Amino acid sequence: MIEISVDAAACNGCGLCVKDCPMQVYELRDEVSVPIRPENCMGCLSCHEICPAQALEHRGVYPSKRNYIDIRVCEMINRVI
Amino acid sequence: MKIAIEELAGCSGCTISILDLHEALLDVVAQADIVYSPVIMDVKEPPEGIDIAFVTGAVRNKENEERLKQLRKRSKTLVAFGTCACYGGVSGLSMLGKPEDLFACVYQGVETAEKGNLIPTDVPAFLYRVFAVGDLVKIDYYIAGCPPKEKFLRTIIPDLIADKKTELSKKSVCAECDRKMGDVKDWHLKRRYEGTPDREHCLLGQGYLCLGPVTFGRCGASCPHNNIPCHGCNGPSLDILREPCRDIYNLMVRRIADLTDTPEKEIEKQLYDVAHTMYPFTIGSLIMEDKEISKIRDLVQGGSV
Repeated sequence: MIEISVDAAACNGCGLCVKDCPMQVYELRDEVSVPIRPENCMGCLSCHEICPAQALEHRGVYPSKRNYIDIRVCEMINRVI
Repeated sequence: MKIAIEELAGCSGCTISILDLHEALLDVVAQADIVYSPVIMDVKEPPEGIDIAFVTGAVRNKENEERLKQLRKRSKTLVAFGTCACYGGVSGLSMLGKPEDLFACVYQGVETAEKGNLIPTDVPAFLYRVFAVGDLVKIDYYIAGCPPKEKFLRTIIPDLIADKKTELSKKSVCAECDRKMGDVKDWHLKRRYEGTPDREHCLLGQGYLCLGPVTFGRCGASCPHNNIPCHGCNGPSLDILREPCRDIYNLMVRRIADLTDTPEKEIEKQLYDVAHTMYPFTIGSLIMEDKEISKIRDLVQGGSV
């Protein structure tokens, strides 16, 4: 089961995740996104990708392969403090 | 513990942001000596055996390059401090035109320049392009921000000195912005001087080009908070940096398209002056330029050298 957490302080209620999710996992309540059907989540991470505020976190999704890893970029990201 | 702060092609605002620590600066200097900083003290050359060197500003001319390499040799930890050092900053915009045109404008073209001014030839020559410091030497840490805000430096700098891991949010400006989305109706791109934005709702939804979703936070969303659209001065968000298929331009277009239910092509028609609106702070960064979908290569073509 995928665990979805929404950082309510970060969420700005744009509703992009509600619109984007192919499984209708999210709903807007009081201008904050709430994962009402997390059991439907298929772990595509489309919402994670689309969220402008990076407010969505998924636990229990293991993307098994990445097509592209740029060592130079990864090195830089690890050093951002 | 010895600390140095070097200035390359920048405005020295980053050094001032360290001074902005105010009373917290006393705790810093109790543990470490600032041995070199052209802005705040009269020392001409960085000494040997520096523990932490902060380098601010981009690399634009030969002198910048030499100073950066010298500092790398003389310091144990080198920190890219500020957006210019991390991503090239506004110096990168100098690549949009030819250096000759640039010099002619600065020394002869502007209103305050005298007619008979000569363009100096005894100053360090321009490199063929702008570099972020990480493009030329190994960097141990990156601290983005234009300048990095004092509120966060209060945590970051003591942690650096104590060799402790810093735990701060690395989310985008939107995560720190307290505006709500509101309804998006009749969306069309507005210039900043058109009307007064509503203070409650998302600036991007109102039609102003706010780079919040694609920009690294750590500024408390201070511009949107003061009713000014974000112009991306903290550099790209880490999501953009990480993913090869994401770039400031294409993600902004996609966000607007998603918000407004308009095809991306239609949005692209409304955008203007992409170099200054989308990439003003990152155009000098090789990492951003090397993304396959980046527009930077097209924008700087024909310029430089």
